[in-house]
Amino acid sequence: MNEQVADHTYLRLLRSESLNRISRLELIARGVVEGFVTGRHQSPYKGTSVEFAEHRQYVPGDDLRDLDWRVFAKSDRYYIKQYKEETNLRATILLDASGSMAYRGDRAAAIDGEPVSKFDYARYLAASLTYLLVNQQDAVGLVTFDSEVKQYIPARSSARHIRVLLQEMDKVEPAADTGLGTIFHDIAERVHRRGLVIVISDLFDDVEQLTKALHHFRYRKHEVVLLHVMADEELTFPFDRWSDFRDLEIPGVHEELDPLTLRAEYLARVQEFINRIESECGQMEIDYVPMNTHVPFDVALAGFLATRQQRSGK
Amino acid sequence: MTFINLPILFGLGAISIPVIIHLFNRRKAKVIEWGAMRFLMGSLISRKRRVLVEEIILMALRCLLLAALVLAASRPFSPVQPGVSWLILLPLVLGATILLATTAIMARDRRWQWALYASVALLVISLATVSQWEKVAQLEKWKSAGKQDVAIVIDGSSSMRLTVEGKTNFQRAVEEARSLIQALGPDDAVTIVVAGGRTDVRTPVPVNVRGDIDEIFEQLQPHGGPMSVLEAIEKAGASLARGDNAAKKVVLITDGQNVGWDTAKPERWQYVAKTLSDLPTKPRVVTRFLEQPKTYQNIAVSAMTLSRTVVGTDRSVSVDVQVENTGRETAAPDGVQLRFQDGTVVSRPLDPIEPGQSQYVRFSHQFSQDGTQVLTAHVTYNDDLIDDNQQSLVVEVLATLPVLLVDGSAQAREEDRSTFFLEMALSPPPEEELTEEESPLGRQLVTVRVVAAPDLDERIDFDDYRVVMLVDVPRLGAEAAKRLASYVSYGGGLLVTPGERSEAAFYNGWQLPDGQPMMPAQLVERINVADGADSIGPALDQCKHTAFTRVIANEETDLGTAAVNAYWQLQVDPADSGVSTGALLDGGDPLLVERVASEGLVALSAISLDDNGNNLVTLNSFLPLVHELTYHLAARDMVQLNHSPAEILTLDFPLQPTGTADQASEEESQRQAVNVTRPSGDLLDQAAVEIRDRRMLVTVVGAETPGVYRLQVPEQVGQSLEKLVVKQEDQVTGVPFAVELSLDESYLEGLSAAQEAIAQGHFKEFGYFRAGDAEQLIAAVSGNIPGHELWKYLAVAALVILLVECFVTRWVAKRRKTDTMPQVAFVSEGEKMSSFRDRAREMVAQVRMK
Repeated sequence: MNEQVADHTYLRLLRSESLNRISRLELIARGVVEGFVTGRHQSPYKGTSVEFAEHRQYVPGDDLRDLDWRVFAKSDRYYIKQYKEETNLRATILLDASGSMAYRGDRAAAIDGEPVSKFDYARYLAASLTYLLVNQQDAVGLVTFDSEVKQYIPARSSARHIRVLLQEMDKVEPAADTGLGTIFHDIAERVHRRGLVIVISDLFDDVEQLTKALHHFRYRKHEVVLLHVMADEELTFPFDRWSDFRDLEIPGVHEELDPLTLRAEYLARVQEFINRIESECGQMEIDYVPMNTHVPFDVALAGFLATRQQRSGK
Repeated sequence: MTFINLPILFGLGAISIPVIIHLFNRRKAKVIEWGAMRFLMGSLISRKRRVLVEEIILMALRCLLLAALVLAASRPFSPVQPGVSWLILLPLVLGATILLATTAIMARDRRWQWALYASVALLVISLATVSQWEKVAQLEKWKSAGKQDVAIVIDGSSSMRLTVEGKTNFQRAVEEARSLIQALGPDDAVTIVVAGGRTDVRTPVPVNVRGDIDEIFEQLQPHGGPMSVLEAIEKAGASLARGDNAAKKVVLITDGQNVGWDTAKPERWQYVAKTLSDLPTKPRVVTRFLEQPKTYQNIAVSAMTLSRTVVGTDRSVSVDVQVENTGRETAAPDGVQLRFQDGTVVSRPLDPIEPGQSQYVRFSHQFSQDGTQVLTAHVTYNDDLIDDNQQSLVVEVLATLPVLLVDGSAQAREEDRSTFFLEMALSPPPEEELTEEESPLGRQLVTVRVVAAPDLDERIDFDDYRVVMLVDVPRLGAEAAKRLASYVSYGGGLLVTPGERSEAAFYNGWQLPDGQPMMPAQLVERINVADGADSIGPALDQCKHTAFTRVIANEETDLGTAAVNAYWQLQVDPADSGVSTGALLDGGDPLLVERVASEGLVALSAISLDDNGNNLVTLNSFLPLVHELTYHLAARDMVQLNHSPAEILTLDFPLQPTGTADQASEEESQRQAVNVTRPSGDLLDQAAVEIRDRRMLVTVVGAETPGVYRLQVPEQVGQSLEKLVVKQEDQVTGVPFAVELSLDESYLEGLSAAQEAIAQGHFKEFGYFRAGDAEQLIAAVSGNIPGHELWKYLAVAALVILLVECFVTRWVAKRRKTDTMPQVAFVSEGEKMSSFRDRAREMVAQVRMK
């Protein structure tokens, strides 16, 4: 019984009030996911469908049902009829579960009276998006990773699939170093069919490596949305007394220092990092979305969806 | 270095306060599990060194501030002769503080922190120990062993009259001396010595009756003249020797002028050191040099000179007064006055004079009275040192200058004689209808008597004449020649102009009493210049003799047209040091040769001073030339009445010969004390007169103060010197003589470090110490530690450190931007939207309100 209850803890990821808020934004949501709705996307893949695309010669192994008997009757040759496939959207959510995502700032939006960690924030975002997409009959896959891929769940659109994804999201805990570059290359290779790639991460890695990896996605014709999750403390560095900063990614690494001595330099570096990513995303036509955990995730998500609707409306 | 408030020094532990705060902050460091470590580490790597340096500087400044405040409060005291100098100790403490601050920032280990606290404690304890040890050593060094005799020598030289800020240095010296005496114990005895041109011990035995001492101080005046430091210390030592107290001290309060220190005379120093060593206990010698002003105005009458040595009432004489600016600022004196003995005062204006520059003023005066005259030049200017504003000159004005002409021509007719022209030139006959005063020739100084050479017998007393001239004399009788030689050796002047009759053998063989040849040159032969040959005359550019230069100096001189047809060729012995060639003829042969013979002078002319053999008598220059020659020969016999200041002065007076040889030998043994009155009116301590060999030698010791002294002539020689004695109502009757002003006292040149080091070297055994100020002087003599406090400097240093700390803190804050909250541009879409919504709600609310 307990296990059963435990099994259902993943459902907490689907915050009803949040989902309500999103559903109340139906128009927005619908607008945003407009492109995701079945039939609106013309898949480059050929398959069984209603719209004829072309003929090609039969090769052994082809389904005989696809033979165009009329052509065979006229020309005595085997031709296979091919149709343009109208598929649902295939979205893959890349959820960063590296150690740095475990940071829980006091200024983060509270859920159940407790400020969320960056990872929780990312998890809620991922879960909400999954629910939203699956509800629209889109296929959603999930990749969780830190310095390596922890779990890869290919995209499916069944309602049951949500459970699998949420369970995985719930199960995973942030740990270890971030290694975005190599992992994104790996995932770009694994996700064959082009679709939507949603990265939810603090992106704490080498920007150059990250850029190359994102290029890879773009090369594969994936549309990429980068949800950059950062805590407000990471953006303002509000500490003013001696502190012992302990690295969340590499155990044992810590630095005891007076934060005031480094604040200006630290913030300059963070700003430069953000600017570079934003600039690179702009060049690659990647949708870069800053997500400050200070803002409740549903508000941030709704904002993102609304902006996207505006943009696609244009 | 010692500390007056030693316990406060332990407050140095306060320098650990910023260190403790720093370490406490670090220990209380809040643990933050941090994700964005890459940015933090990146910042740390690039900023670590700079941050570290900034932190160290700030920590060092804060620690230094506390250290400086604590040190200032503990009142560090630097003795003048420290065992450990504050220049070592204070930088060491401050350096250690900086080191502590650095270690506090760098140290990560707790053991280091304990080491820090231990270091601070050790530093404080070491400092306290060193300070206490120094204090004990200093007290041991300076303490007075019971009652003491103190000799206070006050510089009373001219320069002490220099006015600085309304007070003379002498007044300052007296004030410091009085303060010193007040600080002494009731049983301490004091001797007061004032040292100027003379050294005056005001209390022969040290006294401890304060009333007596006050009375002495009331009467103290500077003596003027230069101070003799050694004489003053010697006399002070002699006075201390008579004191009863065991401990002895000699205190010298001076302006530090280098005159009178005699550092170039080690034997004098050794002698005085020996006399001090012979005291029952070795005295300590303490000096105090009063501060000299950086600028002051001083004008001095630096010299007075007469244009001629022999001065008569016949003609005017020039008096040149040199006025020198010995101060350090340009001075514009009103003028200079020359006051004569008869009360006449003549004034001349002066232009402004730059420092170190001089101006000459010429006065021309004809004396109406013969006898000794005192001239005083006074510059009218209100400068800082008035002693040197005047100077006196004593002149012996002659009534007559008797000259004896010895004629060798043996001519019956007056105008045929060889002496005719000389007689006419030296003493022109007055015109019959005019009195002497009315005559354009004026009064005549020179009186002439002509005798024929053969008539030179005992009836002629050469001593009645100042100058004797042998004109064309063939030879003299043995007796006359001997008497004339004696006359010359006692100061007479002799001019020999040999003519064609003169016998070379006589002149060449003539000897002075001491065996030297009488003539300055050998007569070789009489040379006649052939007719038609180039005429010979005096080579003017080779005529250096005073008589010739004075004549040549006249622009209208016609001496260049002189033509010589016949002359005596003279041969000068170059080895004879007493001989000088005064003038040459065109051919290079000597024209005038001169010998200094004992006290007298012999001049030999190669040409005649008549119309025989040259045309000299026809020239306008003839008359001035023979007069100048006569004055020159007479000058040798004048009494020297003006002297430079000297420790021992000798005055030499020629006396008239007494009747018999017995009396003369009796006089030779006479040596007696004589009264010499100083310019101030009191008598000199040491003056003696010795009469022998027709001379009176007066030895005066200590006549170093410039001004006019008066010698009271002993009765037995009163008649000889009667003419020199001045009788004035307001002055002591006597022969006046002047001691010139020495500019050493006017220029105020301080004792150099090297000179003081010499003095210190000689007086090392007496713990020679120079007090920097009155406080140090009092401390050194009364048995306290002389030195100065340093707290003011440390307080200023603390203030400076505080300002620097504020500045550095602000600068660092500005660099680190801690005073502002920089924003990173990272705004969620939702955030934008919600903020937009909030704004929209506000706007709607505002609209509704309206």
